[in-house]
Amino acid sequence: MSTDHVTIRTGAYADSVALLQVSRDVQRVPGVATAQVAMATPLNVEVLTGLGFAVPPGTTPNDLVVAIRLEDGGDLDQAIAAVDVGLTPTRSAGAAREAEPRRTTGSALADSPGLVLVSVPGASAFVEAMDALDAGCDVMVFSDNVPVAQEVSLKRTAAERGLLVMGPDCGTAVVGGVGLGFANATVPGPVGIVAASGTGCQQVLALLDHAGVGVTSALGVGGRDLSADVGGTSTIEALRRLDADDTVELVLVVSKPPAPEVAARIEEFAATLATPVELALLGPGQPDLTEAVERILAGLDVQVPDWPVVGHAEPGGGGPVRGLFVGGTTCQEAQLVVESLDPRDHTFVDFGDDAYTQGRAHPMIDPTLRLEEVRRAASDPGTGALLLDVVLGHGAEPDPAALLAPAITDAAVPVVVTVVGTRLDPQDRDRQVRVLAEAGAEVHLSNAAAARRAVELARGTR
Amino acid sequence: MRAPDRVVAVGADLLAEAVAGQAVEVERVDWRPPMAATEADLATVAADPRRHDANRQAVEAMLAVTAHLVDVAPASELLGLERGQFLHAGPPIGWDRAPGPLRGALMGGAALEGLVDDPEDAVRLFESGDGVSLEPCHHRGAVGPMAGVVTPSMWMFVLEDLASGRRTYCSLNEGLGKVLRYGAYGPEVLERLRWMGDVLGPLLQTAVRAVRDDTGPVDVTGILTQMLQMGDEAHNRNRAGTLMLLRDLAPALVSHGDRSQAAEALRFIGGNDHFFLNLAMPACKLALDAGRDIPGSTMVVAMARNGTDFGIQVSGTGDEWFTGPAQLADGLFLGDFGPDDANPDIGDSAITETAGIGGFAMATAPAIVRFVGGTVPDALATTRRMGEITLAANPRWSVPVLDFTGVPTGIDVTRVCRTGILPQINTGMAGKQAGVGQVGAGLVTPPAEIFPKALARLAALAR
Amino acid sequence: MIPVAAPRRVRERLHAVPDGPVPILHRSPQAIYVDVGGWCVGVLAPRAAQVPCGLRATGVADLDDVVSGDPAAYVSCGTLHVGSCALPVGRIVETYVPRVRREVVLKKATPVTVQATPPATVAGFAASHLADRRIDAATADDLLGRGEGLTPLGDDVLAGWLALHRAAGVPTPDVEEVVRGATERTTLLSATLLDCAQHGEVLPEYAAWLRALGTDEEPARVRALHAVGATSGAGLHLGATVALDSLREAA
Repeated sequence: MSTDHVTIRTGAYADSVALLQVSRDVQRVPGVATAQVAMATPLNVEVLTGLGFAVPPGTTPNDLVVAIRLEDGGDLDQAIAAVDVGLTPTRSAGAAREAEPRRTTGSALADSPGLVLVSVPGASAFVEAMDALDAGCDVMVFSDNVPVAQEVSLKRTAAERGLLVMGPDCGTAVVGGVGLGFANATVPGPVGIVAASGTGCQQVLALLDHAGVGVTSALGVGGRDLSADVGGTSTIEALRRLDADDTVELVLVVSKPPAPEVAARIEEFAATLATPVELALLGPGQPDLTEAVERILAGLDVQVPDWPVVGHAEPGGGGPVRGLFVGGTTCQEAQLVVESLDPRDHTFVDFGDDAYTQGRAHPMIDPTLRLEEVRRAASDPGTGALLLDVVLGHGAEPDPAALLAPAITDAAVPVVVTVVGTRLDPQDRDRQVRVLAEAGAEVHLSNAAAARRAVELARGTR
Repeated sequence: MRAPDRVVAVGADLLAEAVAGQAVEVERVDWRPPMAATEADLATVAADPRRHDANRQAVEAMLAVTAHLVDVAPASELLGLERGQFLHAGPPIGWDRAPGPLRGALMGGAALEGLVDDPEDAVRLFESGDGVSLEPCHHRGAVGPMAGVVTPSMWMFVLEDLASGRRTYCSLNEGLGKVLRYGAYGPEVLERLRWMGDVLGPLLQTAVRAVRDDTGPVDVTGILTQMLQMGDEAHNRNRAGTLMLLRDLAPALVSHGDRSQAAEALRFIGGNDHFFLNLAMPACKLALDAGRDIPGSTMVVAMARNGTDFGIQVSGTGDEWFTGPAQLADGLFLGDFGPDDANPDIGDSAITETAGIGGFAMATAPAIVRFVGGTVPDALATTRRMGEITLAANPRWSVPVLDFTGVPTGIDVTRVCRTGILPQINTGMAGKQAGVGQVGAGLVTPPAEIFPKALARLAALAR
Repeated sequence: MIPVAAPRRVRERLHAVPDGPVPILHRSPQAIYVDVGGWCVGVLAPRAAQVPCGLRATGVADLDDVVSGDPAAYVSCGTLHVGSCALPVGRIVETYVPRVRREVVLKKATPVTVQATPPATVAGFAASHLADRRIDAATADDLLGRGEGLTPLGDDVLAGWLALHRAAGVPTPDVEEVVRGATERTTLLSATLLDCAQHGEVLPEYAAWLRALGTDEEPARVRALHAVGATSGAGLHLGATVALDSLREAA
């Protein structure tokens, strides 16, 4: 047997939605067969009547009906208590909760613009970067593995809208003094850089910093920008931006040798600019980056400093140079220098290459793979000289020397290291250099000088 | 070049951190991989040179529409609907796949039109298919809530965009409880429908025409603007809208009609908080139809369910429906009903969410979140979250509590696929057995797979 | 921890002093000024005047949100700490005045196309202390420390005058000699800003105005400069226009 309890509360109004919730709460009370808490509108009275409840005559739509059907042994007080709790307004615990973070670049740009930095997996990078262009914003695409057709599409769209696409696969940029990706901390100054190469740009930043010349902007364009496919679209826009900046007195373009028709296009465009443009093209027969920087300094009437060398390595038994690098351009430049001086069979490995980064962080962040190889080469008497780079700056690991030093302390062979960094870099460049030198390495700031020194040492004592 | 005031970082947090360490404001996007296997299509559609402008054009066209209530008349006159022709909610469906509530409504409709004497006899009629045909409301410029069944004798609201002369249509709302649109077809349902055809429809026609000719037609879009600031989200809560409509029509109803009939009509409208829903829906459709058929546009122009399938149409893909199984709503049940009694999601009313209200305007109607035991912050979060998948904020329809931000408007197929966030729909629940009627109300989303389907088609058209 | 952006000399100054406490000179929700070895260093929220001797806390709307109560300030390893909040320098900002070419200096007899009306105090000050619109060692001596507040108006005028000479590349040894005694005669903040001006370090609004000199944008930039502080921006502008006039005359 069940018993019905119907009570009328006059002057107690609650929204029908709230009352649905209350009804549900009361229905859950043990011993309650069914329950309805509702305003006594004709419809609700009909529903209640349909359920078999007797609603007292004279109730009006402004009255609240509490109708409870108890099973045998059900506790009415408990049911009523549930009604009261349900009808008491509760303060929301989460009222102060912060707004959820944005889920797309587009929605993050909906209210205010910004420079966009994309580092999602390559398959999704294009879509996020396009959001930036759609919002009228410049974008740096750090992601690699972006198909060249997408790069062309992105850059064509940007060119139509007067926007700048840095990348894809752009590791380094400095925009108005702000470093993006792997970038060295710089002092603002008169040189502007357009770079199709990340560590090439970083080497230039480091050398200029040592010479006391600041860089306000170093715009990366991605390694393929000057290829025939892409056609230098971002390089042109970057040059235009730097030319429009009256604090920039001289622009340096750092790249592999471009496709001939692209080179012609860039030169033609550069000739229309008020700001002088210098090219530093990495390749066989071309000056190295240190020479390019020296030329720039001459153009600015700045005296070329001695490129610092800390520590000293002694030649060993001689043999080919083993170059183990984290930077693509530092690796390439060192290889060009070494091979131009010494025809032996040297080996150079770029641990930042795609083959070493699939499913792994870049070696500037995760040095594990190179460290293993450094230990092996350092103990191999067949190594004529071990040539390494350490790249400092924003984004890079906080203390690379701490891990590298033990691996070279007991080296059986001469070790030459280029530390690519500026005084302001968060890793404290001078301390990094000191630790490496104390571990027995000869530490250079100029990568080309380090390479030449490695050749010298690799010739051996004899 | 100046230092950026703000950097938006999407991807590796390490890089975002490095920028923040340089005293630059960084907003980190909470990026997650897109829906499975959509990367290539997303890139293709993003690269479509038509997309950006097409979407802007679609949004602008949609936002430029003002819906006016210009007439009320029977479907036979307005749509040329003939005996035996039935309109229904959602994408196309036949009797064989029609769910309980749609079957119930069709049976009631057949009895209303005199095709059968007893609604139960209509089952054989529809099974045979003799002299009967089913067609989506959307294919005739109309929308119908829940089952959405429209028969030739039913009276309909006519909404017009005065600038273009385009029109949309919707039946008159029957009220709550046992009603045809929830699949009920008992005698009281048919009796009410007959009264609506004999008395309410003609009265409303006189009143609507009188208002139209005297002071200009009722601005339905304008009422929507106001009701959104009065706690209605115009899908599951239409109280303020209904009262405003009543305010605009009451004098003409009283002065042009029989007094006792007018009183009856006023009582009926005033006693049905959802009366305005049947104006909100065609107003939304009128706006969205302006955004149709723009090549390259990824904007959803219709979301509709027939109780079996959930379908969407997209501006850049014409009249094609992309469908998947309709879902069960999560919510509260009337009386003794429970989840087992509910039919999957049904009705054209998701046109309101398509236009940016209903579930999308949850923040302005926090009471609605209690349908799923939510909180006010949930309501605010829902509206903000819908901003992740929409192209614009509607400047006319604003949410006071969100500092008068416009409601998130224009669902973007690509954004849904990128974020995996599905449109949030507020809905009523029909009983799954024909004849039962309403069993509850709650929240529901479309089946996720229809968005990648639409995306694939957009990508194919872009190639 | 709040990363800040700093002018180069401010960073160097912080690295040059030994670790230890530094007195707080002034504090408001928008700016905190400390005495770092006889030089005033500011911690600046975005709405504070972005003085060239300040650390720019770009991401903080209100310094009271991060520094509460009655905090002590100290320098440790080149990083300023206020209370429990470290303010590491994450970036160097350029504050050097842009170079003004000779032809721009000579361009017009009345260089400012729309002279923003200076506040009455500045106009009155100019009338009583700069009647012949000329600054030399004697006027500098009269102006130094004259006026009220953290940066007396006379100092602002001198700073505007000095910075314009740096922009034009013209030395000013006599006036600098007078200004060297500033620490004795004015607030430490004002003395520091005079030192900055001598070194060509200026507010962003001042640099922006100089860049716009003689262009259509100039009136808007003048108004923006005048909006700095109560009278500081107008004072800087007054000093700079006095300098422009005399440079033009000399040419």
